[in-house]
Amino acid sequence: MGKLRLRKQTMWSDLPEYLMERILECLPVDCFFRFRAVCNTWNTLFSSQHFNSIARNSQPFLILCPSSTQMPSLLYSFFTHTWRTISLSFIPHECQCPINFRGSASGLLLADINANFCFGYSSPTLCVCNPLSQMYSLLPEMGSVSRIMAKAILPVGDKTNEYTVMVVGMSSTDRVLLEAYNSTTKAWKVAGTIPDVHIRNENMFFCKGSLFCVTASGGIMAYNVEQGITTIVSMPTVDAHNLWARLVCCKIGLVVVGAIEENHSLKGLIMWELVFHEMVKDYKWVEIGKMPNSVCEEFRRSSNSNWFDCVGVGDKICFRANESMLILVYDVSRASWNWLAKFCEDLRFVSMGWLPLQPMSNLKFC
Amino acid sequence: MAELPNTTMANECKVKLKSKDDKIFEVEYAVAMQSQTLKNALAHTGCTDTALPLHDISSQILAKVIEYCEYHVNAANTISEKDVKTWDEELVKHMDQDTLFRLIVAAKYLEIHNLVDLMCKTIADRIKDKSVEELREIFHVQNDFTPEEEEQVRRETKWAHGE
Repeated sequence: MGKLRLRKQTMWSDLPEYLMERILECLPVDCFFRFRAVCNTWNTLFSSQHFNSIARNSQPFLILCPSSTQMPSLLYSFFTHTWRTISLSFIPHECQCPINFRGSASGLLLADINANFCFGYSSPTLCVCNPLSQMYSLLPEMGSVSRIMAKAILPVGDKTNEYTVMVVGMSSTDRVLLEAYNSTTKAWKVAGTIPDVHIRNENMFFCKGSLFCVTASGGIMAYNVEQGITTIVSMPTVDAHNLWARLVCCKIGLVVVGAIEENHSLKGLIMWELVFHEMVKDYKWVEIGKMPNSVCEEFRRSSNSNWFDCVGVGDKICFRANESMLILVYDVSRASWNWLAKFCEDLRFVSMGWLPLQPMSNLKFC
Repeated sequence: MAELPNTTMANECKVKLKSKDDKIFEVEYAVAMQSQTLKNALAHTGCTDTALPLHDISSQILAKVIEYCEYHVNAANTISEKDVKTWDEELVKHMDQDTLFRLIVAAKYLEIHNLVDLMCKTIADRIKDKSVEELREIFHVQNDFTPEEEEQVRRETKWAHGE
């Protein structure tokens, strides 16, 4: 084994650098991180702008986040089709404060730590963290917004490691404001006002230059950040059916997932993309997929609960019925449905928030 | 880049290639054209009876290259993408590391772009599940981290190493 092996080794080390790079580019993104430990050259290569660019444009991971930093988060890679655990204990918590992960962009997660129970604070502390690098930052209190209605974290710029967090909320004078935090200045600044709109829940998405959330009256508020223009879009309708609509953000853009319910159970599911038409300066709904009946039946059987949650991860939309450990994935580009391997058997993990997590190899902040 | 002016001649032209171990291979003009290198060479010489010498490619590897090119010269128009992919996978399935290495170098020299792509993907596939130690062995690289550096890299990428 000895001599023959040695000859092969020498040959591989003779491979020209550009060919070596091309081979490494074809690896699943998970390897970009693991193989950094091989040697200094590989570490530099995988941390380079070029490889980071490949990573940031690749299919994101899916991360399941617990409501306590004592429990690990679960990470799914669509490249290796495996689950991993990632500890969140790097985020400090002085007591059993629940933590809610609300937003994700460029490998960073936005969470709120609700210290109400412990310290009687009126508003939660916002935290931005990078689970892959195990770093976090606690944001200072906002200047103007005193009651948060919704929040989102915006993607990092191409050339900088600067991130922005946007919060929509009520000021002390009852105006609805948009306040933005910049990681370089480490300060909040009022970025706009929003006409009196009641937001239904805290999920807000930043997509193609606008912030989107669902309003209390069941429509969608689209706020163009640069222009400061608010547009209200009605949800799509399907005949006379009751549509339970949820927003997800994925690679193609903002998508509405409409669940058709009958007798308190899921009868069908349709997905529409919200497309902005420059010419008419208005939004339009374009159907992008439907859940086939057979899949719908499997989904109904996956849990006793009628409620389900969905999240956009790259060019996939993931679905999970409440109290189920099974995740159904719709691949938007291939229009195909697949079930993921069960994420675990531990029932404590059954109620977890979830988000996409973009692998970024050189994002360092704090 | 001059094409052979007379298309009839192009159709009838047979290209001769000589491997490192002096074996002569004859291929159709269209097959040879998949190699940018051969395309450039033939643009200068025109159709010739002299064999083009490929000093660094053994007959074993050249045979594989020709097999690939002969299949692909027609594949683009007549065979489904899925079937082409299956054929490609079959071609490389049982190749040992030695052959993979020689083949990627030959494909790069001959500038057969989709063969280089195929080789890159195949090799990446073979190494993706290897451990860090195995990779060092295969590519004959030394662990040149200081203990502190290695600890830092492993800490930064801890999640990727665990289960």
